[in-house]
Amino acid sequence: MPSDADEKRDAPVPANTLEVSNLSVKLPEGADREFAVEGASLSIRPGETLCLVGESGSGKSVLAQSVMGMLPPQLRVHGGEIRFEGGALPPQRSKAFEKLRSRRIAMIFQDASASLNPIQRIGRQLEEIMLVHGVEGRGERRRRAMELLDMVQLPEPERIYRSYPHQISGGQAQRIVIAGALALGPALLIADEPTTALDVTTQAEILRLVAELSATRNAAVLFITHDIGVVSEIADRIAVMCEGEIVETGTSRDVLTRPQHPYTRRLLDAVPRPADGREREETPPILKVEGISRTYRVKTGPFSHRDLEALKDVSFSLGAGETLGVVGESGSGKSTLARCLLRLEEPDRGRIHFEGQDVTHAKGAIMRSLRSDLQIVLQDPYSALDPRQKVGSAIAEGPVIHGASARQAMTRVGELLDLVGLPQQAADRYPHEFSGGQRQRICIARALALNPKVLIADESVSALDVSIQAQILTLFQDIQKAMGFAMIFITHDLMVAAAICDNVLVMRHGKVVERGTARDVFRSPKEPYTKDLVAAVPGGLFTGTETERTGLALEEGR
Amino acid sequence: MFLYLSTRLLRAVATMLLTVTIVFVFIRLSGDPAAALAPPDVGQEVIDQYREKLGLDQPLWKQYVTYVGTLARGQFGYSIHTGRPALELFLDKLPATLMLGGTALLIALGVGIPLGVVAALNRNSPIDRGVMAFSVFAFAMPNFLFGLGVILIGALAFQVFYGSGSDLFSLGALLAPAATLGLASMGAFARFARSSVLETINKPFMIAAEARGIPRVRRLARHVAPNAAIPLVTLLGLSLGTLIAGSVVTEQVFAWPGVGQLLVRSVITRDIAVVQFLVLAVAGTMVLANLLVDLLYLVIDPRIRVR
Repeated sequence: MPSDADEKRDAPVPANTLEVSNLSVKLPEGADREFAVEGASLSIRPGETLCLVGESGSGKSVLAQSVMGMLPPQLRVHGGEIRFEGGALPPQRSKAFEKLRSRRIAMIFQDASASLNPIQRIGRQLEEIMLVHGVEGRGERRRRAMELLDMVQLPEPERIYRSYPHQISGGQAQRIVIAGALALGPALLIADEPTTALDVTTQAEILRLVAELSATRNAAVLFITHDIGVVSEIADRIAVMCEGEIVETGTSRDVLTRPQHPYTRRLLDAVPRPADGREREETPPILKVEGISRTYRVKTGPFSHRDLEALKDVSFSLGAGETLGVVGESGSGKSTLARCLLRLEEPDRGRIHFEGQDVTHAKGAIMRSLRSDLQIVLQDPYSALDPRQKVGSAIAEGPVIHGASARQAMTRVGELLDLVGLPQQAADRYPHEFSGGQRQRICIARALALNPKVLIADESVSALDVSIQAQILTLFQDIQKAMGFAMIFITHDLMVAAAICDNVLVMRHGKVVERGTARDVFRSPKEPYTKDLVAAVPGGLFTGTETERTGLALEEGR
Repeated sequence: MFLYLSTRLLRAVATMLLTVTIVFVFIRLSGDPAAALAPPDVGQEVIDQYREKLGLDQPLWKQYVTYVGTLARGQFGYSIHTGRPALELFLDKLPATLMLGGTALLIALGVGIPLGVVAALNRNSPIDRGVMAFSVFAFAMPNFLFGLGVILIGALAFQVFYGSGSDLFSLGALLAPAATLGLASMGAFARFARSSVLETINKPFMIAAEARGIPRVRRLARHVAPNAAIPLVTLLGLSLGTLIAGSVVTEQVFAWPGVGQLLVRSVITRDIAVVQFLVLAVAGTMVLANLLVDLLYLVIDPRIRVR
């Protein structure tokens, strides 16, 4: 394991804030492995940011929990030591640990909105942290809460102070949680995937904020993430974790450019990168969308309502065999578009042509055949499968409804499982016996069961770990090559779109703001919004997408 | 908030109107009211006289309009047996029933919720299993049977007879029927409180609160309690129905001189005006109670109050 002594510095090396040495945490009997964390060692100095990188189940969160003294009772520290500011930490879950939290060690979580009490005002929640840690005086606590809101650059701190969590955006919530974490000037901040749930432009701001605050306050940061782009943006040093063990530690540059461990190399290879020069010849359009709009009515009174335009005059055409990316942040209308295409919703205006036929208001037999020609793969492979339905029957359901015999359908199931790289026996098992990546393969098999001509993938790889994501993206490409369907790939992740798409639409507020080949849009975006979006992608240096920033999208994330 | 309040209010009015209509239809379906009201063994012409006097010869829609109009003016008709206004009979019996129902509700909440909370905090322990077993028993026990058991035990073990309904103000005489009536709701509250607390305790914001160093007692009191209370308010509205239905049986078993007894007696004697008023009163109570529950939501859940 490389030690910190390798780094040359002029100033004397300050004492480590956190020092984890040889930590092992035992899992309960019957778990898939013996240790959640096994012989892990790492250290962080004041003002330094260490990124702990690993995929789900690697043990990175358990390591963080041990440092917070919040290990669940069924997990036990088996060996090793955690030293903090030169001393040993109190026992797990002890009363003494309560006094350390917030005051010396603070933690922020993935879903900031969910980590706030939904029925308490923001101001009160910030003040409570100070109250329980002995800041005297209501007025003083209030003054400091306002100061904190100001520090994390929230607009209208007065209004935010009085708001409830449901009234603010995810990015604002994360700022508030950071404000709370820094309220008492902790020496160590643990951030557990704090930007995973955020839009890319908001993520860029939060990363900048964390870096800024840890620098000005000289706090050590343990930043847990699975996103290599984020890592390259924020890390001073990196520790890579795999199956409970830290397999590699080093400076950010070393690990990212000269990875030593095979697992690190695999992880880095899996990061989606813009595909180079995928030039494809024009094919006749299979799906043509002309100026569709969709407005939702939001009730504001028993007899009054407000219009919310989710889609505004969207047009595009999709060639046979083409992969079209639809890129946008949350609320941009990309999912509404998918629903309109699938005819799960009717557009208010505009036309949809499928194979030259107007299907905007198709009914009956045409609608039925349309249903089998257009298929979707959803984001969350966990909730997309009926837990009480065997995999085989889930895949066979479509063909049977559309007239296949039971025998034909089961043969088809076998072919499809083969196609998506799952064993034949999978047909007789239930979804819960599969991992997230395997389930997404099942969902893809199910979508392909009817030989669709257009496959819509709605954030289909967003919920997956990066190495699984890479596998599924490759799978999509291979199957597309084999079956020849056209694909609409909806994603918030520009790198994913750049990696897999021929052409791209960039959406914002229900409108298409930019369109073009994937390469053009990402290498030389024309619209200011697209430029900001591309610039906000973390790890621009790493993935080679540095462009100028205009600050337009950034204002919006607030 | 305005939207929330106005829809609830409209819904309440609509429900009442529907109830009035159903009552109107059912009375017409249950036989000729004139024949029911006229003394027995009279000739057809007497019944016809009654019909004319009561306006039953009018077209149905006219009868309906008159009916709704009279109700709206607060005239609910007279008991054919005592000749007293139905409203007065009801108000006579109301205090006893309110006392019984109120005590039952207090028992259901005051015992059920703490039991559920204790069970949740000791999840999967013998305490938890014990409480859950008890709540199933409480929920499943028919109150006529449990009531009889209480009377029997009271009489055999304590030499007190709870089933006379004679002394409403002695504690035992009140508690025995109230516990019987509240038992089912108590079980439901214990169960709901347990699952609601368990759900809240495992929410991300509770983990975040722990990570902020907020002590356990404060976490439970300031964060779990108000959040876990929200689904219980829903149950509160629902359990009022159980209590009203149960009170008819319980009052009968304990000879409790309340509205439930009045209802049973009026049904047996075909005292139409009284039965009809009681149906409306019960429906009105339910609608009003659920309106209050909706208002209570406004108080405890800011997500409804401020959008």
